[in-house]
Amino acid sequence: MSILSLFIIILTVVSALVAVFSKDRVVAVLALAIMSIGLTAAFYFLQAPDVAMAEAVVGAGLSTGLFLFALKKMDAEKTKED
Amino acid sequence: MQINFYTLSVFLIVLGLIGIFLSRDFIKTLIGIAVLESGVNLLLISIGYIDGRLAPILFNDELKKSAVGMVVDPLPQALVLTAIVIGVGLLAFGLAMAVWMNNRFGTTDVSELKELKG
Amino acid sequence: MLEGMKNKYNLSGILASVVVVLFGVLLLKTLNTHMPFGKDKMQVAAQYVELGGSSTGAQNMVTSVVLSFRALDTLGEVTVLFASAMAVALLLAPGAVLWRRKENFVLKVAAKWMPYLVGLIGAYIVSQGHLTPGGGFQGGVIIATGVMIMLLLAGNRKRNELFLHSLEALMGLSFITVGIIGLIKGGSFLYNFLPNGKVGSLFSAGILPLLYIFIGIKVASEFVSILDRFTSKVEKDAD
Repeated sequence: MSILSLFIIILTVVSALVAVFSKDRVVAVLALAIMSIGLTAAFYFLQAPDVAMAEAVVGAGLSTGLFLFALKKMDAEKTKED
Repeated sequence: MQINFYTLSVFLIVLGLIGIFLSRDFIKTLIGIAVLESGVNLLLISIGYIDGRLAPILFNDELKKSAVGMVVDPLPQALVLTAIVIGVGLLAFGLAMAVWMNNRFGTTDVSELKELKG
Repeated sequence: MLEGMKNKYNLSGILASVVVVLFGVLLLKTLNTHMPFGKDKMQVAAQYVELGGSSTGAQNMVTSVVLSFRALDTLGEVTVLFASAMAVALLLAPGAVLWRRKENFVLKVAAKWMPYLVGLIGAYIVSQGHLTPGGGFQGGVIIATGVMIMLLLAGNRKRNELFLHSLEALMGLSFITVGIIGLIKGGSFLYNFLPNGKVGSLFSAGILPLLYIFIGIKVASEFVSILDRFTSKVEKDAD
């Protein structure tokens, strides 16, 4: 169990660093989704299945979807495509 | 210094705050807020974890009779459930503000918001 | 802080980051000393664990904390979600058309059946919130994610905004009405007035499944209306 939780900690740390310090916005949003998956696994190991399910649907589904829709909407207005 | 889930959650909190301070783009500020909020939720759940105990669901008869020494703390889990959903509501509102800012000013760079200056 | 952002190196931002790192080290030291990881620290929750199964009848103890012992916090959260949906509806203009995109085969095939399958899974998770891990919030977001696929493709659609907003308001009203019935019958707001039943059967735990069904439909309709605002744009008229 210790090797697995160490792997999850490293995955979450690396994806959080990429999310904060990356210049490209789409890469940062996808790294945020991977961080949410790492966090879901961490919640599972801390014996909290309710919270793990909530973090999975919200972090990897709705939050990423909202970010990508907002980025697409801003680009669509900027280049004035029809 | 021991490596457990406390170090991960404090690392995420510090990283989120640094992301908010060092960002010019409003979208990067929102990403920093999301990382900060994930760190705080993880910290609350790891405070409630107790070694060797199970999740707070009464799935066999022995637990249904008395679950006193056998389950993890259910109170932080209920509060963090609320906090995660409120966090995504906050993110939806922040992204609506970013889209509105882009329509009004043509950019999401916060140093271009100069209308109240001077 | 805005002044410092004009330069290439954000001096005040770097100073603030150093202070935050020092704060983080101090926080970690305090946590490991006073709240050691993995030791028993339950104070209030020891009573909830003792009373949980027998006083509410729910098999999932987190559900009994969220909807029975701390039900007022859940009412607060329902209000915050409502405020956030109204704020998004105020800021973004209601569009009528989706931006045109190339025809995608996978999306077209998936949008025919995916909302129904995902909606079924979401309804299962909402209705079994008091037995298995899950509940109203998780199931509501799952239903909204299923509808999201349909929203990406529905070109020139008729938007029934009145239905979404009135459904959300009706569910919030039902939640408060059940609470007031509990106030009349039992003396406290959101008192559990239906019979508890046997722990582990479907019809158990009093009003808890009913409250979760209201919350699930409310959350789903809120997020569908938020996503709808994000995926439509206004047709610009030529001057």
